[in-house]
Amino acid sequence: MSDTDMPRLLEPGKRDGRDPNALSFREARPASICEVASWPDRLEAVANELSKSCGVNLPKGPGGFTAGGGKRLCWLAFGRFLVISEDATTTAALKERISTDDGSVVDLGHARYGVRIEGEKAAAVLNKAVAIDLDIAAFPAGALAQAPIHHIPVLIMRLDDARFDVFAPSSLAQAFVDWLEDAAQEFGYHIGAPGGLS
Amino acid sequence: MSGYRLGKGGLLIDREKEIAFCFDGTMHEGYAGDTLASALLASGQTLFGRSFKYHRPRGLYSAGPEEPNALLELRPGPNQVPNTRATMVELHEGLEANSQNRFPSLGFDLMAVNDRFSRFLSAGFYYKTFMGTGQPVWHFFEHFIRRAAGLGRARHDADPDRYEKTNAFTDVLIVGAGPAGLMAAKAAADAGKRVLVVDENAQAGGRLWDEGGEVDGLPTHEWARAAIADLEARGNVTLLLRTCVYGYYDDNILGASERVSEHKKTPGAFEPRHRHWTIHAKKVVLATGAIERPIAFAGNDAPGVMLASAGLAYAARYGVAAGRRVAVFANNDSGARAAIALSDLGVNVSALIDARASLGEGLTGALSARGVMVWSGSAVTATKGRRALKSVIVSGYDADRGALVGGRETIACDALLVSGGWTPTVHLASQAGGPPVFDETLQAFLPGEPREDWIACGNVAGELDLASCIEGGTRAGAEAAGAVFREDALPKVHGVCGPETPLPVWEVPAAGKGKVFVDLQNDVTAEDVRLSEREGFRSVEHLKRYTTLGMAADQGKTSNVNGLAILARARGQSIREVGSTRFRPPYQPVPIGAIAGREAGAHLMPVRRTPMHDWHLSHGGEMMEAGLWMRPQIYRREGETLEEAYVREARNVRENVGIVDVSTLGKIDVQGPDAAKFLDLIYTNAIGKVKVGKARYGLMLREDGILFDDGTAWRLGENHYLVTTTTAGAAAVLAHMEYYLSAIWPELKVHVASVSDQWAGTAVAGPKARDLLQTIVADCDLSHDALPQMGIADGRIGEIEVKIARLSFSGELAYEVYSGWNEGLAVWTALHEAGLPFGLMPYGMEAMGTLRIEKGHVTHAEMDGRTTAADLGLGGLAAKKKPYIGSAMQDRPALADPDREAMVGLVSKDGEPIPAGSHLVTDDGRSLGHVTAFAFSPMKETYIALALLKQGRERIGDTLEAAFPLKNKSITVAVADPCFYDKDGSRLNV
Repeated sequence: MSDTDMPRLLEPGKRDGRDPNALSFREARPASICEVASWPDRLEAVANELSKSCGVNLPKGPGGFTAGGGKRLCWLAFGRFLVISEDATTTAALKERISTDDGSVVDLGHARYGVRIEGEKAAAVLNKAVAIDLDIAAFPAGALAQAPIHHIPVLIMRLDDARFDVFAPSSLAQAFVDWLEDAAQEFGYHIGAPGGLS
Repeated sequence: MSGYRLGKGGLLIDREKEIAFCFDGTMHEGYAGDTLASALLASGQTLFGRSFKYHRPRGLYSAGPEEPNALLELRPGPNQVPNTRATMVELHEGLEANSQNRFPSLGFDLMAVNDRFSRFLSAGFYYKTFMGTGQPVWHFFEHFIRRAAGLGRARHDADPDRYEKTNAFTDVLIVGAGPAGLMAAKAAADAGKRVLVVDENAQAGGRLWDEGGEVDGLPTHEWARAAIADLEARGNVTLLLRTCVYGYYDDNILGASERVSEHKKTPGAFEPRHRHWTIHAKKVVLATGAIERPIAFAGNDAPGVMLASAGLAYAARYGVAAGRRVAVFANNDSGARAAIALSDLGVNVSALIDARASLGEGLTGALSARGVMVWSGSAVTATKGRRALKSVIVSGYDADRGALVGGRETIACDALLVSGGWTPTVHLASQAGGPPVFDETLQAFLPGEPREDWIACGNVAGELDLASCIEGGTRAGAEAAGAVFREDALPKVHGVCGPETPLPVWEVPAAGKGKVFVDLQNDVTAEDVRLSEREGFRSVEHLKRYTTLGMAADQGKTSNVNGLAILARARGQSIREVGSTRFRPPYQPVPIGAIAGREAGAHLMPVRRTPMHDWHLSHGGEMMEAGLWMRPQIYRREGETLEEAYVREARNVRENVGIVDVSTLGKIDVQGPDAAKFLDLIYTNAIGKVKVGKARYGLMLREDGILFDDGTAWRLGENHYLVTTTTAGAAAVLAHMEYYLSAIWPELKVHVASVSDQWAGTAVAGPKARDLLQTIVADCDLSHDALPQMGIADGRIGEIEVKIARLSFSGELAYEVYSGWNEGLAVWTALHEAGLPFGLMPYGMEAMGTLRIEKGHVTHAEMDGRTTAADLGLGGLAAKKKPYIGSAMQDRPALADPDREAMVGLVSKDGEPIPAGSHLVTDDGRSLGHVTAFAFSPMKETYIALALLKQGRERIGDTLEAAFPLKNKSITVAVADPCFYDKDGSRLNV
């Protein structure tokens, strides 16, 4: 798909709220996203294959992700993974590599909209809706969680102390962005140009 | 009372910063650091409000959150807040407040006539007067009664202020930042824990501002400043002031309300007025303190009577004297100590009346040295002065008999400070614990057994003197942090004594007329309590409800224990035997705005949008809600009515071609070696036998045999299906499938995932649909032979890959064109543009509904949770040779009853619309069923409808009345076959 076909929900250059430098938002656009499921007795085989295909270590368990080489391997729940990649061929490659006897691969490349949230108040703005302890000690870099924000089911990934990526369903992307910009008014924010996973 | 500003003192005010403010239209001045209460008191304001029921004049009673009388309407305009305690409002420039519950003015209130008729307004007045009179009588009087009673009035216009909500997580939550709370915070923070200290006041320190004596060689208030500064400097401590923890819930989750900018006329840019905190705490330390208790006596509500701790707080914190000639009435040493401290602060204290025969050691001498006359073994029996205290009547008091003795003396005073002991603030402990336990020594209720993970310390735990508070707080903080308590590290306290055990004087015997108030905020008297007992409402819970004792906005902070004591005496029992009511949230009123946060108006729920949402809006689409989705109802052309618009759109589908946005349909990806087997169990028909590249319409039942949802299943591969559901049923169907895979058939190797947001869909319907698609879709043979009805094919529109299924909801030749979500708009606009030469029009929900009604296709209007497949004429889709969910129950007698309602069509015989919801009635008025959906049919050129009708199929051809009593309408209808158009499907198979 071409860049211009995508809906532009976060308007680059926009500055609003109390201190526009307090927080920065931008679209986080991977080239592919897919959900991978393993059958209960094939978890190890699928996990190892994902680790190998993505070129990253396996996360320690559900609720974590590992990243490298433009790919993120997210362990959502028992037997369920999400692979987010800057490589548009990743989903197709995984469909080739994960046998039906081991599990399944579902393309979600259009189904999710990612937002990078960066700044000292990033956790504070998320905690307005998210009832998860986002203190760096409790939710360290490499942690992920699925939670509702304003009734919208989102995937929250912590990149480091002050950076999160949040993925929302595409049909609720505008509603999520509306919520985010409103919640951030108290701190202030600016919107940067869309980017990838780095 | 005639308060005034003292020449010196006032630890919290800045005499260099004067602040002008307005009360009841009159300008006053105070200092930065004042509360509205202290500034008004300093300016000589006597009256602060009128009482709830009797409209009696009332003055300040406290200096803190327990204030029962001084409730005001803060701010004019739409962001006005009623029932605001003047004691909790920080003075700020431009502050405007008005008294409430009075007409026409605070000084002259016509409703004070209620007080003259008070003997008719005793407890239970409403029950006794209106029970049995019937609703009309009550409704007639209700209007007047509600106008006569009550406190502040909420406004009806929208509040323009911003309200926020947030979550906080902490290792140790400390509620209360008095001496115990400060020490608990220090101990927990020393152990490296994340500590959140919350206090409802604007400054931490509790009564350290008023205490005499020293801690670690510093005056108590200086030690408080140092302790607060120490905590504020720590990275692991957050001090949250102006925040009231109002509720204690399961799993150590507490609710708190922060007055973020309530101390400003206008909040700063983007600043909320209030913020609600949901606090998730691993451990909680309750250092909620204690509230001084009144003593009940005749005339105890006169303006000028206030708690002794309040009189001391006004002098010490704000440099304000409660009056020019002050008397103190007590049953414990707090009264004497307050009298001494006040004298030292420059307040003219003329007398101490103490119910005890003798005072604590050294106190008598100290009082005499300050010129305070001591009346020991005495009690105040009455007050003089209605709108301002002028004097009190004092009699001798025999503590053993609880009776007045000797003669009466009149003591002139314009302020009477009262101390009846201390009531630990056990509200939160009670919410999250066992019943409060009465302590005979302290004559107070203490926290019961914890049912959540909390520790009580300080005053609330019965540690009433400062040294005990400091030790108890430190111990609790260390315990909450899992650290070792070190007694040797405790600060050293000098010259501060705690209150002695109070003499149990709850109510002074009456020596004449005059009401004895127990609950000042709800106007409940001691006689009301006794009346309740006499009339059989003897349980504390009944007492509370019958008299409304403790049910006001202050939750009985100054009244509960006295009420219980009076009830106990009336019942001839001990207070322990009578027990206490349980406290429930909220401890303090919480603004509705803080609870709602930003989830108000258009922000109440999120809106789901398809990729074509903005296109619809820019092309005349009038949107309507469909769950969270917004979908176009019609695309209105200038001058069209709604009906004209949808009839035009529907007719165009029958005659030419139309497109409709079907991206909202639920879509579920089903994959795995057992996918076919799984879908055979989920659907009533043989989905597993569908060939690759084909789709099939299917039904799902609930376990009880009732219809659950319908949709199509597309077989994309041997082990891969794409299942569509109704828009409304998407989430429920996915949950249904996941439940069965997780819990019932875990052995099946099937994975389901929502792909509703992966695929955008456009339905292209009409006799020219194929012609249109053939001009724009590449790499795909759309001929009837290559892509027959229910066939699936891949193709391309421009560079965009699309998946095309030949499916029809309209009854015309139709296709659903699916693309990636982000390409949906491009596909839609390409189809629209290419279709214009074919007469294409987009159509909305109304036209789609019209087309399906003409065809007799079902939606959730018919699948209403009560109907079966057979009821809707879909019984043929129920396979007989395989089991599926609901198969066992669908044939039970009740569902096979021939009298059940069945779906039929209706035709309006008099050319009138047949509103959905109309009942189909017989001549004798019996309902035989109801209308589920109606439309004006462009094909039948009249109004038609679908309906569920008893013995429906046998009634085809009958004439019935469709009654719609809401609009007093009755339409004559003919019962017809539900398929009004192209019953043999010839228009599909072309």
